[in-house]
Amino acid sequence: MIIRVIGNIAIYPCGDYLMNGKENPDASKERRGAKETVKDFFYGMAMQGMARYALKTRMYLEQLFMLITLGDMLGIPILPPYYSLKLLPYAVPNIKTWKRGLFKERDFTDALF
Amino acid sequence: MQQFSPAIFIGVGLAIYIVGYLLYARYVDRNVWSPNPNVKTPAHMYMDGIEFFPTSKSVLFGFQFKSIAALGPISGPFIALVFGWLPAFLWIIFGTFFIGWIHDYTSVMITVRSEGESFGPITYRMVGSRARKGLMGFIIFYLILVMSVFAYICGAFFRAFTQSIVPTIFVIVGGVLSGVMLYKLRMNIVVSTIVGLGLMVVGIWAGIWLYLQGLLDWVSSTPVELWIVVALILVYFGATLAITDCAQPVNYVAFWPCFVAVILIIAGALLSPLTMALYPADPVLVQTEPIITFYDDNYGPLWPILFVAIACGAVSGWHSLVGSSATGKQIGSEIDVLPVAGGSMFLEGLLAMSAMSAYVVIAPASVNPAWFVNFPTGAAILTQGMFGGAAVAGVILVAFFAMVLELYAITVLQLMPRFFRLAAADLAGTSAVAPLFRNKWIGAGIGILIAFAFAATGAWYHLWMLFGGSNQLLAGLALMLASVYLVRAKKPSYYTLIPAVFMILTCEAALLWETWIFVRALLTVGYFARPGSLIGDMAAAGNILPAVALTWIFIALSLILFVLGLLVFADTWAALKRSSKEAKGSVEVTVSA
Repeated sequence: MIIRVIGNIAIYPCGDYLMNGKENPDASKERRGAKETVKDFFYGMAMQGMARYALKTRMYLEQLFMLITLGDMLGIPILPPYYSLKLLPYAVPNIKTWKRGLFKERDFTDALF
Repeated sequence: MQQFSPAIFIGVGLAIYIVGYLLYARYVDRNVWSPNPNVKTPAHMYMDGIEFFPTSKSVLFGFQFKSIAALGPISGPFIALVFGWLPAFLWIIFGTFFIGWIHDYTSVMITVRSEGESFGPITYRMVGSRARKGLMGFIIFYLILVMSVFAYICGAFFRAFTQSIVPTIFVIVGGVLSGVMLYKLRMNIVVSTIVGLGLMVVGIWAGIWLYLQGLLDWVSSTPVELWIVVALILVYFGATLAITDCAQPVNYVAFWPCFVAVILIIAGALLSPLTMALYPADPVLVQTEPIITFYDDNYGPLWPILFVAIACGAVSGWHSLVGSSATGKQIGSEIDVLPVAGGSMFLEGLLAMSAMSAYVVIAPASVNPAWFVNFPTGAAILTQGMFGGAAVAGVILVAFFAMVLELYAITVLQLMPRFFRLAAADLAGTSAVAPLFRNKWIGAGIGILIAFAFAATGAWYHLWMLFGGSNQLLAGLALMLASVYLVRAKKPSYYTLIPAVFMILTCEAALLWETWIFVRALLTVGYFARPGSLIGDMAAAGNILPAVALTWIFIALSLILFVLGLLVFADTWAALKRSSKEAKGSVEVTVSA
């Protein structure tokens, strides 16, 4: 459901990358015209915070899901290894990001925005 | 006094900021920080498409500006003007030029060069555990003050500008509705935005109609505490409901009128010579004296009061939280940091200048002693020439700007109990009270009750000064962190160290001054309380004991902020000396080798 919602609020620039598997545009190095710049500026003011919040919500849910299904990789066996093994092929692309996200030191200042 | 157009403020400010950006900021950027476009930023290194992802600098500029430009730069100048417009003007100009932009810039740059770490982890790594805990404690009190002072402003605005009540409520309803359309009914964002904004227009019309019919006159005779409660009830729902159900869509819909208001006051000030020629009957001229006093009996001495009164227009610690928590993680290239963080701050300086223009164009006879309620009137004077003059647009513009200020306050307030709950739970750790803060209904409720208790005292000026003091002190501490980082990197640190020491000394002095004000109030009961404030009323009614108790609470709050600030400063100073020794030691080793 969250993915659908994110789709509705038009994530940019990582939206295409996340939703459609397109190559991530290296937005910072793009040369953009005046119209695009103004459009980006308004997007940044009006939507970037919302898009970021939606994505972070999904991140926390996905981290939780990964922890439940593949917790034994971190020494926290929650699901029997049989099921973890069956889910493993689907989770492989996200394992590195998941571990980094989970082990990253976080405090209140990370949760602000 | 020679009267002149406020366009001069904007023109001079714009010229100095352009010079500041192109010469000073670029010089520091290139020669001190030396950004390298080929270095991979955390947005690239840890790209997860969520927290870390390289984003266009135009998008980030918009994001950063929207996150930092709220009620602070607009309300900030109101107290400072008791000293005259010249000190306020100079502080906004030179504060932004030498301190503000570099503070925002370094906050983002340190995060970029510290693998995307936020303020808390950076403090822990570079300074130590005690400093981090001190900083967390400091931020909690800072959040309480923000909630209290903004809640008071909301309540006071509802009562002073009755025509803004209905539009504000309509925007909140419109926001919730557009959230339902967007997230539940999955409708197009354009349609949901139009519906939200349409309700706002209807609200403005209804508010003005009710006001002109005299149907809202009763509001002015009600106590301000009632309207603080109304505002806080709205805020409680925003803080406890799912963020996508209320706070986020309300903030989204509110963003549009707030942005239009910002554009209008900047354009209004810039075009004032032109509009004055069109409507000579409604002149837009600076009416305040350049220098009124260096010591005000009620407010105190120009230093340090002026420097904490203008809380966001010149420099603000809040920006370091935004920069390190979000912007730094999305920077795609090191060379983008200056236009994004530095550029946003210069633009905010211009916004503060425009807001100041709105306060100084009101004729002295019409100035309300509670300065902040003058903004809608002044902003209307500043902009009415673009809409057909006072006769046509005056009432509408006052309602619009009053609504905008309400929205600024409410949208920030909606987030504060959330932040307070998170910070308190973080600080409480595994103690017995931690579960209370982890529960959103109780945690947010505690924050709101504390805010109400402070707001209801009516000592809004002191709350604003404590908020400004803590906000600016946070900026000073962020600049100290930047200095530690630069010393470690063997780069010149005086560009950040001098502003850091100045800000910390000034803010600590302001906090001590506030403490003295309350101690003096104890010595002469009722001295400090403004007419109409709860403490003043209590003292006048003979309820000395509650008034004294509240005064002690303010003394404790001022002292806690002072001690926490001093503690973090001492730790960062020790870290600076340690880093300096280590840096010198490593040079000697290199030389001897």
